[in-house]
Amino acid sequence: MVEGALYTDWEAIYQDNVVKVYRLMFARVGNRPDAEDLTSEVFVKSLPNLTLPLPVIQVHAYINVAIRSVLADHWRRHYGAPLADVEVENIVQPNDVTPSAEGSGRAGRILALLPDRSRAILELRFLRGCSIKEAAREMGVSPGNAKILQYRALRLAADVGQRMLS
Amino acid sequence: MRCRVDRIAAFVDDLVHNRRPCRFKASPEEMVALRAAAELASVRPGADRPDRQFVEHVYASINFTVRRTFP
Repeated sequence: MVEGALYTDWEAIYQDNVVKVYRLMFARVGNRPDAEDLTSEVFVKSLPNLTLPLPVIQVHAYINVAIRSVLADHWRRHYGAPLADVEVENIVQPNDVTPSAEGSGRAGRILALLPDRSRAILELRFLRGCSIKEAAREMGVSPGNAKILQYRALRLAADVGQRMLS
Repeated sequence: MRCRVDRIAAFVDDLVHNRRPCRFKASPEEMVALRAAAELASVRPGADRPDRQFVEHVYASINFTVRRTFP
């Protein structure tokens, strides 16, 4: 980004940022329908209200605020997450809306740091798209135990992800 | 515990099939697992690439709103 650069029209803001915002949303909600709704919400709500021209850095800061707000609202409305819980998420750096070339890379690094069985169940599910029954068969456990293994693996993955941020 | 692992398993099933996931009031422990699952869903190559039609549709929506607000 060129220091002091300006956005003079909303089309440029949209074209420069829509893919980055979508990827960031996908990395936070993990599915296409929600990622599309939330991305749309960020732009439809924020862009018409910007008074242009504005410095690029200021537009990115504005988009970051919108992302935080939209995500917080999503987790609160659908899963009852307390607002403060969402606000501590590390979304993007103030002048960088490029988290998620990161998305898949970070997820892969988290998997790589897990103990073998935890990594195996999560790879079967997320990477190979196995059902819980198929994953259970591959792991040599009952479907009930595969669910427990998966739940514990996700908690471990959350710990690993947290440690990677700190 | 059983109820909790079933809910998380159903959530992961939805992510694996790229469906809008089930909604429920999650405990703080479940919330940790839900967010980890959401993040791991982007591990599939290309999973986080937006659909071109979606990008164009949102562009058209904003265009409509902007033109109506600032004719």
